[in-house]
Amino acid sequence: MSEELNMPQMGYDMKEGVVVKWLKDVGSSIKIGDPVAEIETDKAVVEFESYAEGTLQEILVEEGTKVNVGDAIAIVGDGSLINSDNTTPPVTSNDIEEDSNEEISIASSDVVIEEIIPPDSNSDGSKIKVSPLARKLANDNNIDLNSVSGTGPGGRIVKVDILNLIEIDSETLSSSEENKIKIDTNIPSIDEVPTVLQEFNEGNKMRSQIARVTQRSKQEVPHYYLSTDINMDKALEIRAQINTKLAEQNIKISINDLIIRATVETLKKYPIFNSRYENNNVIINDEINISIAIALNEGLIMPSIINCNDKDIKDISLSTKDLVNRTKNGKLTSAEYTKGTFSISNLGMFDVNSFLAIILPPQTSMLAVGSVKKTPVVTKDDSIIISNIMNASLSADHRVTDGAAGALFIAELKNNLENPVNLII
Amino acid sequence: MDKQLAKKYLLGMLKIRQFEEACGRMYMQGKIKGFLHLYIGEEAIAVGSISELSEDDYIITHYRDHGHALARGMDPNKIMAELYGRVDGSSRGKAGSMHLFDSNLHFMGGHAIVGGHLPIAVGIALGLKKQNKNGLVVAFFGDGAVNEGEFHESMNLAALWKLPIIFYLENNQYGMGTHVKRSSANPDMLYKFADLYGMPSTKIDGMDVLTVRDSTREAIDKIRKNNGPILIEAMTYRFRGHSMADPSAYRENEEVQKWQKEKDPIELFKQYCISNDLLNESDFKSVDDEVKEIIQECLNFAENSPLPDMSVAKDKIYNIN
Amino acid sequence: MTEMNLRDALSKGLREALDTNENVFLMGEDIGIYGGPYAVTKGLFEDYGSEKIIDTPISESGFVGAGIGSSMVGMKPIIEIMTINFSLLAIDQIVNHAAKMHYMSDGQLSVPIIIRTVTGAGGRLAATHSQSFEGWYASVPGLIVVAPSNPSDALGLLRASINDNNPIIFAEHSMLYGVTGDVPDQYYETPIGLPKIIEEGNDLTIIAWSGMIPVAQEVSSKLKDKKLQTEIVDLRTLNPIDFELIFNSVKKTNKVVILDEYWETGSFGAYICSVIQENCFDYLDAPIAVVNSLNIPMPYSADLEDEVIPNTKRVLMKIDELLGL
Repeated sequence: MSEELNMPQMGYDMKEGVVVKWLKDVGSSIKIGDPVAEIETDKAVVEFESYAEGTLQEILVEEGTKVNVGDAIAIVGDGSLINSDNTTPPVTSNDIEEDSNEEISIASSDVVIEEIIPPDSNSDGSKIKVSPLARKLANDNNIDLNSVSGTGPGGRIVKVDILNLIEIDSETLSSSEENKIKIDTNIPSIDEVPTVLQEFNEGNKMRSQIARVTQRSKQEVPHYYLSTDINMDKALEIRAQINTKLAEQNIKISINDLIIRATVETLKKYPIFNSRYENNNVIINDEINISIAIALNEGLIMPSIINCNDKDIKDISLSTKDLVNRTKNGKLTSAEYTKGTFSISNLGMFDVNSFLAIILPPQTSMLAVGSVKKTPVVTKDDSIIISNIMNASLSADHRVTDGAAGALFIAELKNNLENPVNLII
Repeated sequence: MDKQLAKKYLLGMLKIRQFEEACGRMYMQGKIKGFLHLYIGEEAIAVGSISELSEDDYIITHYRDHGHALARGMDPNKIMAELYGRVDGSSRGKAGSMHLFDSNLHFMGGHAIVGGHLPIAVGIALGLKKQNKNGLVVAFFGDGAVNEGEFHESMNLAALWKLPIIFYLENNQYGMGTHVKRSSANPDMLYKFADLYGMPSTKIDGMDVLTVRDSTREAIDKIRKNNGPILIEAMTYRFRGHSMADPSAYRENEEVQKWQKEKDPIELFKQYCISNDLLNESDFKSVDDEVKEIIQECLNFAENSPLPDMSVAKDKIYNIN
Repeated sequence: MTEMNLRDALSKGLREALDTNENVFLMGEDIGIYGGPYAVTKGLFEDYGSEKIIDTPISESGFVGAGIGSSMVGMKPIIEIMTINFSLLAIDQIVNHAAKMHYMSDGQLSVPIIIRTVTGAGGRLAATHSQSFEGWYASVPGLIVVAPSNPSDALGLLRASINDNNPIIFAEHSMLYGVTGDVPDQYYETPIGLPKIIEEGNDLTIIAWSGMIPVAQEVSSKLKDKKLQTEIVDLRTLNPIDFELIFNSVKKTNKVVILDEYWETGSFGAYICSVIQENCFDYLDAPIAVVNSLNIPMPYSADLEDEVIPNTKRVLMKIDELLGL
């Protein structure tokens, strides 16, 4: 029977030692306690006294070799080597747990249960779980947390859930004073991207936001609609005059600019349409920020021209062009995303006669305008002339206003556009 | 002993006495806050011992530290301003009564943890020795401190390393309200602790300024010769409470009065001066006048010093040099 | 660059200090003739003699106080307290005296001492010899606490400590002495108070120091399997701390795990957590996870000790539970 001599532990923090010198030769007889080798630790050179008895049968490491504590350095004995595998280590409670398949299967089924807990338990009246960062992002982007499904632990709404709903350009945000949150858009290389971020990259985000917003609007907001035809002859005439005058400044007023300008004047007269509906309250906004629908390849976006109250037609025109440019370059400020008070959607360029728009909550109304078309018109004296006619439709929130109010609004709008001199003086 | 020296001792003790009496008054008027421990009754030890020290020597003491600071020559104005918590105080109002410092005078602080300054005294002596400097260290402490481990660790280290220290035990017989007989197993032999550390020691009458002076001088000579520590146990008595908050329920008025009547160090010294024709009543009067002026001046100084602002509070937490 | 272990880096720093500053001396229990309980001072007694390398009695309060006193008159003592557990016997000197002297004397006196001491668990030394009190000391104004995790920081911080004029607790982790790493051959110092990002990542920030750094690194490598990039901040200094670097990391990753070998209750890691949530609340995308030693006096038996100290398995579970990663 033979026994291994192992690198001894000579201090609790010792991990390895060097066999400096063998003090016995192979074949010499060894008693327990005999020094067999000099071992160098981090701190000292120490004589290693044998804990086995017999003949030194084999030296396993040369002098100068570094050996991990517990590894064999020599064999002592007179017979066969004791197979250390035969020794049974004491069984601990941990071992039992790890060896039991039953325990493991129970444990993993626990994990599954944990994962299928409904992520958002606000249906039972409990508070929505949301991370501070996600809450701030949602707030800044007018996203109702009730409509977001959280994918974090326990269904918590986390950053990525909000990012899936909005597109935010990190440069725009970091340059905006109103929003100091910088979203990290350093997307790791493709093979490192977590699944959720891949979806984010595929451009579904804007679509899903439109889906969410329009669905919610249609479900929650009781729309009513009023339509009228507006004679744009004078508007076109005055536009031509203005453009002649502004040609040297290289400014060109569009029909849409006139519509915005007319709408602002109308809203000043009927401010209830420049309101927001929040928590069962109607709040009339002081600022008139006109959101205009801009079609991008990825979908529709509704940024707003901030503070139109005192903008003249030229200002409106410049602001609109600037807004469209920056929208296409992805350079909007977060206020422009979120602070709109009244929306105008114009599909005139697509040869659409008329259409009805879906209100963009928390706004309470929206104007939809079609193409300006040469149309035969019966005049007051029953003759027929050809005029430039444009259809405009108001969508309004019935919780806030009734049809009669809407009629006044749209009549005033019509009046403003048909007597456009009011819009420039 | 000549007339001039006698006057110096008397002035030294009287300055402490009247300074402390003024502190007591100002404390009761709310000018001084916190803990205030008066040295009244123990003046002979500070004056008798510190008058023997040279500029090279160092002093470190406990929280009843006004007497030692004044005896070392610390500016009474700075001390009183510190007690008032004013910006012209020795630590700009951040340390208060128990923690007076004047590094220029090698006055290394009053320290408020009983026995805690004794290892530091050892260190100062060690530093002096390592730099081959001449000075020695006098560490004052009370009878309460001898039951702290730090006292014994310090005694052993000082003796082991043969450091120049006088361990100056001011045995006023009470650790706060606990008489030494109730706190020490061998209360009459505290100085004998030194024997265990192979350190010379002596027990003296701490109410007699000349005895204190002579014993200190002898100890200094020994230390300069042998370069090892010495313990002096000076028996004394504080005439006032432990601090201003002391209800004095632990000792009889008769005991206090007996000490005041028979052992007042200032009265004893005056008698000595008269019987040895050193000073007369008119000398006493002129010393008294001089001291009164000093005290009035430091009270005025403190009263007129501004309060520190928060920038002072936030300063000198770390040495940023 | 020279590869060396942390013990040798410290030894190099001590020799440098002894060679270049005549006021430097070392003292502590068995640092001289014995060669140092952790062999950091091995060979110094032979080379520098008993005036510079002082073997002290087992009087922690006494010799720490002696170090303080000597520093007040111009010396630069490097005091070794064999383990941080024994520093409790000197806590009056450290907290009441070393930390306060400069302040209470209003700058008249300074206490430029270094107290080298061994912190942490992992050596099967049981409850009284396995504690991590560096966070305690870091809570005391007036003290500086450093706790390096690798050889180059150990040498750099030791040099900075020697050139500093404040009382410094220099916490060395018992299980890190053998850790090897490259140490620059040219003279450098590691600034006190500056944490270091030792691994960069975007998905979560792990803040750790001293003996918890290897755990952080192992966790990071496990998270790589899940395609997660971990940012590891090694505090290196516990007081003072430049929090800007930490805040910036949190703002980048939005998720934070703090590893602290101290117990759960009242831990320094919990303090770091509170500073982060006050300053970065709107940047947090998950609760801040603090992983501590369990609230149990350290048991001796190996398996039990491994469970009590924060380990990779437990940290990963906590990350899964709180961060959802």
